[in-house]
Amino acid sequence: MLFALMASAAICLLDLPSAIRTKEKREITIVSILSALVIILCFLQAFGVNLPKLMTLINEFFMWLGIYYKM
Amino acid sequence: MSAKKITRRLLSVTAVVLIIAVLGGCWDKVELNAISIITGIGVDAIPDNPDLMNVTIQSANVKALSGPASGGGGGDGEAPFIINEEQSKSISEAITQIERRTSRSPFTHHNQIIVVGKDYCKNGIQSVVDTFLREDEMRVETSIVVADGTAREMLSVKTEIEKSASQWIPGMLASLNYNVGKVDVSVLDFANQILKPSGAAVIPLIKVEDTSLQKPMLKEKNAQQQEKKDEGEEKSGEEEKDEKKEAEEEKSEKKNGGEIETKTLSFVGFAVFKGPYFVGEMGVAEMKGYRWLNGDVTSTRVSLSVGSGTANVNVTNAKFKKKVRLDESGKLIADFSIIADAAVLESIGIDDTDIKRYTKVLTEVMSEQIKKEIEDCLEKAKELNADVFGFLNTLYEKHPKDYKRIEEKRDEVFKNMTLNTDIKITIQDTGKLKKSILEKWWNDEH
Amino acid sequence: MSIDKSKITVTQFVFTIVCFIESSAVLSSFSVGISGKDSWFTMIMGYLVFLILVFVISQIMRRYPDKTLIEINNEVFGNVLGRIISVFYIWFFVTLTSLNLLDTQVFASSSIMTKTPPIVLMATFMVICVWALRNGISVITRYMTVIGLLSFAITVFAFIIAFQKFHLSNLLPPMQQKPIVYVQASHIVSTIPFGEIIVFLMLTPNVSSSSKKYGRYILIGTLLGVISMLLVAIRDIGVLGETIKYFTVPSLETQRVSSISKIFSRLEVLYTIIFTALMYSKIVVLLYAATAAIAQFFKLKTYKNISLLIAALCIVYTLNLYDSGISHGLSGMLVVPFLWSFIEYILPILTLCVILIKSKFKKEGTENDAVRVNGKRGNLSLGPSLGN
Repeated sequence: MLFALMASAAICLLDLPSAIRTKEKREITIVSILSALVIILCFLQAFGVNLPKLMTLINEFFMWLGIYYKM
Repeated sequence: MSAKKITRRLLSVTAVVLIIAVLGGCWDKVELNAISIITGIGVDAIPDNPDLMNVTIQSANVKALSGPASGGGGGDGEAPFIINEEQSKSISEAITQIERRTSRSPFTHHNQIIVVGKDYCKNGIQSVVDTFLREDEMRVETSIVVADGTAREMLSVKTEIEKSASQWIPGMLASLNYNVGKVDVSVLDFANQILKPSGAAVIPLIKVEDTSLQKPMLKEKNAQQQEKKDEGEEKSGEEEKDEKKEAEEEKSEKKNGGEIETKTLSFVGFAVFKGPYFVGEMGVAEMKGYRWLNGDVTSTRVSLSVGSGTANVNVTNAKFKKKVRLDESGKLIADFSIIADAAVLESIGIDDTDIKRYTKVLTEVMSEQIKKEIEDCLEKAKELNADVFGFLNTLYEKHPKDYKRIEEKRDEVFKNMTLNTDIKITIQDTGKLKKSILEKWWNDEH
Repeated sequence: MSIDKSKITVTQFVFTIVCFIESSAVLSSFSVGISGKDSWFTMIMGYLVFLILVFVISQIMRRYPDKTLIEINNEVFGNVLGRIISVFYIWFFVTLTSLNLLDTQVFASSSIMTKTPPIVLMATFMVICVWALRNGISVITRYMTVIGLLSFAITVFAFIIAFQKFHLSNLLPPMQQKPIVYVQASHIVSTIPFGEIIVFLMLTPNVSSSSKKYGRYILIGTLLGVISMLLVAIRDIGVLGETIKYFTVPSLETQRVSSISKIFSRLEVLYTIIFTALMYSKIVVLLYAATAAIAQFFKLKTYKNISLLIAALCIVYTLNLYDSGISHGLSGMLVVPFLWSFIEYILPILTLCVILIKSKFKKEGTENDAVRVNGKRGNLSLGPSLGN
């Protein structure tokens, strides 16, 4: 939880203001959306939500396809 | 300076201070007065319960070590170590259980020695090997020895020069490494040896003995006790009480971590293993041959009997060559050669008027003796069916195709192997004397 | 145009590559667990396979010296397909950053700081990386020369002190395993340390070199790196022998065992120092590549505005890569070589093929135009005039 809070604070205090300072609408929009997504992910992780394990899923997919070295 | 710059600098300083606080390792700080430094770990079998082991942990007694009495010899003040024992299924479990009754957490990073009781070895030392290779806190280069007795007894002794067995044993093994050849075996060395094709390894065998001063006193005491038993004297009530009190005092002394008497530890040979299983022993006699066949000896002494005389020779600069091959019938033949220099340390009763003849005689006797030592050692290894010298390993390394031919019957091949030895030792000097000053008394009877 | 306009010298570029490769010496357990005593041989084989990629990358860099990988994709494959392929690369860079961060955290947690929460280790590490990142690529690469030389010196020193425990017989006999073992191990080596050099396509515009001999720079950098890797592998095999296959971090065990009498002993701290320094150098370059790629993908003015959020994303991603360390290890040995081969070898080769085909058509088109123009003026006669 502490990490989620600190990451959000860092993003909101450093990244977002620098994006806003550019005064480009496109830049601000994209950075805001990305920041929001990352902050949501951080809090989901902090609340113990079981996020999908991407590499494990890819591994299983490749094994299902048969593209792997046999032990 | 602008407000922005001041703010930035203040923020940077705050960030640096916070980072330094984290760098200090808040969670992983280890205070010296909160740890119990383990110096030796011993494992023994429990006769009634083969599923459990008796784990003995020797920790440094910091109070005794730092006090004024710590520099003194045998028995004064507190023992310099603390013994904790626990019966459990594994070493890690034992350490966890011991943690429940100590005020300090066990710290195994400075463990000097692993002692395994001979009885425990007979069931195999898998647990010891796995724990010390796997656990992060255990170090793989820790020396391992087999106690000719129990590990508990060995770790409980107070020794003459060093403070504890865990300091004595590594020191003794280090000096033997130089004078006898590599006898020190670490957990990693042992694991490497048993994973190789021969699958055999040796571990030093150490025995607790009484010191040279105590031996006559104890002998007398034992003799008196034996006399009493034989005469069937009945002990009086008071005598019995005295004996019981003595025995209790001894017990409490042992509990506090030291035997009343100072003991000595001696290297009495090797415990031979096939894989993790104990298969037999090689005594001091066989050890003499082992030092040659191992090819690790830097400098060693050889005692010779020449007719009615004796000599003692120091062999140095030894170079060993081991060639292994298979003949057409699949018989393993090893050609082993030693080229070394020697210096005479002692010579009594041997005619040294003609220096050339003298050195020739000594060289011949020495070669014969070394050959015999090698053959005796090899016979013992064949009897135990354990190629501890690595002939099969050398065959596998140099001629892997030939090894694959005999892989399935390698034990049999080792038992039937032939060893050809070629020993060339040159006597470089006769010490400070050109010839013996005691010549005229050699034939005197006194 | 590059996101970061600062320039780096050729030396800095080469040493960045050296540090990148040397850091993978600590990850040798993927291939060492398979090839064991023959891992020195599989390293050489993996490097030889990697030379194909060196050629491909150098050709791409030579043709587009002022463009990053994202810009090259758009240029070569067009806007739509180029962006789709860029998404693969971006995912690759972010995943690599997270995987390396995971390795760093696992090592620190298991051997040095066992009680510290993993998130603290990762966060503090990433703070340093982001701090360097926000100062630009020139600041990042400025320290690589020092780190590279220092780690090489420590590697050589570690080799010398391990000599007492080194047995040449542990390296014998060579090549006694099944052929598939060598294929698998070489494949792993060609993708996991070497193939990752593809990230340097994000640094091409920053290299200030008049000669543009990128292939030579990459070759020198990787060669120096592989020499270091071979020294480490041979030392580990010589000291650990048959047990090398069983340890998760063989180099750490070798350092623990090595000593010069009792004066220099317990030197695993040296390994820890160079491990941390090298992993920093690798992760910061990967983080730069990921951040710059995302910034270019979204056509942002500067990557520094998203540096912290990408770092935070990498940390969260690290915690959600695999369900266990064992799964990670197995994946690295069995599946990842195939997955990475697609991104590190097949895509760049495809890119180069398209570049060559396009440039050939462009050349033919230009020649035809020249013939048509010259034909009208009557300067060339190539049979019946096409213009008439």
